[in-house]
Amino acid sequence: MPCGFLYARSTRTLHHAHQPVLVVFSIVIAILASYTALELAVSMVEQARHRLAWVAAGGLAQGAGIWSMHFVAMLALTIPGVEIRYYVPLLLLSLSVAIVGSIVALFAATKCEMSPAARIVCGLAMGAAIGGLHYIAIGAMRMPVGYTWNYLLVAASIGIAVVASGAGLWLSVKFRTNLTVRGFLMRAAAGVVLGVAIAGMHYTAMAAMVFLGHSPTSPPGKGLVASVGLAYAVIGASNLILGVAIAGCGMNRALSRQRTKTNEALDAIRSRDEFLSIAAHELHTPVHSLQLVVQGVRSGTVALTPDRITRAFGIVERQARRLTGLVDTLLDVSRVQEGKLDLHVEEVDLVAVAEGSVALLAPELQAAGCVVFVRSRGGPVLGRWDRQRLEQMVVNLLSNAAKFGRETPIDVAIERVNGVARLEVEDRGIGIPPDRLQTVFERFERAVPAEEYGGLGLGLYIVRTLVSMMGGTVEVRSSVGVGSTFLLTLPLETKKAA
Amino acid sequence: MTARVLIVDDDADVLEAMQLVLEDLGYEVLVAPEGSKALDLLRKGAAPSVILLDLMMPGMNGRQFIAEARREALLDEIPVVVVSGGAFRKEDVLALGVADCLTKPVDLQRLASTLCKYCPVLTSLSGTVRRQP
Repeated sequence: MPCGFLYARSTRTLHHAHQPVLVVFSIVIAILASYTALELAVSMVEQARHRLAWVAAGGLAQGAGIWSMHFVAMLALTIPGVEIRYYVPLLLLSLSVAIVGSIVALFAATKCEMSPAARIVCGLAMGAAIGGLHYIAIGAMRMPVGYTWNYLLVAASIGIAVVASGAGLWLSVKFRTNLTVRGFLMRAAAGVVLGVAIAGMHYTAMAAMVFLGHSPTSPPGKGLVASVGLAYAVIGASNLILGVAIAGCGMNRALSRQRTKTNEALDAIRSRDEFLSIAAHELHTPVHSLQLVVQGVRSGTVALTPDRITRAFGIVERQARRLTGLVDTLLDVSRVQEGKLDLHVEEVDLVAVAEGSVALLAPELQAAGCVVFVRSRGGPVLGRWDRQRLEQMVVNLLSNAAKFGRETPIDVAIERVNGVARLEVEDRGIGIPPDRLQTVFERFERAVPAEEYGGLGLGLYIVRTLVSMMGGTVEVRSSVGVGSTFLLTLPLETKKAA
Repeated sequence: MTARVLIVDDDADVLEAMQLVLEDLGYEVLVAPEGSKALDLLRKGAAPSVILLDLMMPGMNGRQFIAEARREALLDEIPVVVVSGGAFRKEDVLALGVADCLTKPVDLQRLASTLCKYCPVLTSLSGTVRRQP
């Protein structure tokens, strides 16, 4: 048929119309299907396991949704006096194209790292699938009417399909990790825009059809008769499928949130159990020495010579001190947690505090073979702080330096710069791996296995808590195998921390 | 043959306390602060009658020490008694193939009788803690 559309319109075109209610339904389905697709992308990102199953089920729902939109919109078409039928095998083919295209697009959307080029290819593929499903479904139409095309509008409809698919893909990647209310609203808005675009594609494509009047040569129709009843059946089925898909997404999200909570609780329990085991080890060790010596003396095993008695009581005294220290540490942590730790602020020289801490720790430092150099630029560094708590911080830092850097020197540098006091403890120990630098200040955390280095895992936690109570900060720099440097920065006047 | 005990523990006070009582029980005591130092002693032919081994130590820990010493066939003649603190299951430790396992704090009586089992020289002496006259 040599039929330019102008000619067709001016002479022999048939009047056709769309039933408004079905048009509205088709647009609603398009929006629902688009929104479902975006929700599915979120679920699939969360779902590391069974991802392929999710992609398949999601593609099925999304494809069926988009196809239903088109088919309902086609059923909305009426040409007075003409019975329109649909050839079922071609309808099924168009449905399959929709589903396969959706599966491919969803699979692409779950890939986190996608180059712009890959994204364009995926957009094109999905657009082609939507265009394909539409025109195959048109091909399934059987009616005693001929038609021709306005090719400009055909091209426009395919253009809209490609752009809408590309936008959908881009939006799904953009909003798939945002689980807040804002993320939900953005997905809902994107669903509306996309749905309207897909519906726009369909009605543009329908506008591209020019019906040419009764064609007596057309074979009598075979297949499903287009009817309002059929339209409602398709609407019902697609709503059911999309509803199930959205409910599935919601359930999956609730489940994964539950799983996250459970895992966090389990982690907390594991961390507490590990702490209890380590605390038991730390308390058992001095009690072990204490008990052996006391039983040795009491039973008469240890010879009662002045030399051996002196050694025995030296051990006893040290164990008593260690136990007191351990219990104090545990109490500090519980006080800090209950916010019951009080600061006694007075005029203090930070250099003197550092030297005092070294003296307090002398036996431990000597045992570890560590020499400590305390340096200060410009004499005393005075400020108003809690002397005892400062000492505790420096002792904790020094004791770590000695523990992880046996037989190596430790440098302590103190200075006053820009109205703050800085104290730096530099060791040449085993260092801290970069991925542990953030966690070493956490309660019960340690950068090394407890199997190798004992300790409660509370020292740096206490340092960080105390220094922030005094309004200061603690930072760490470290490189594995070279050593670590801890830097305390304190305002010269302790302000009561909120 | 001398009743010689090798104590491997990272805690200086534990080493000193055990050394103090074991010496007065009549043992010759060798000490090592961690696994690799203990290995060095064995390689140099220290040949103790029994090794008292802590599990949690920096450097080479107790499990690593056992594995390495076995690999070098240094433990063929020497029983190892694990003396460790903290919460661990005795079965897990015995699964390492050690002779015995004591939990810190260890009772002196218990320590002495365990050592007697693996140290024939002392068994003939008394079997329990020796008393001062």
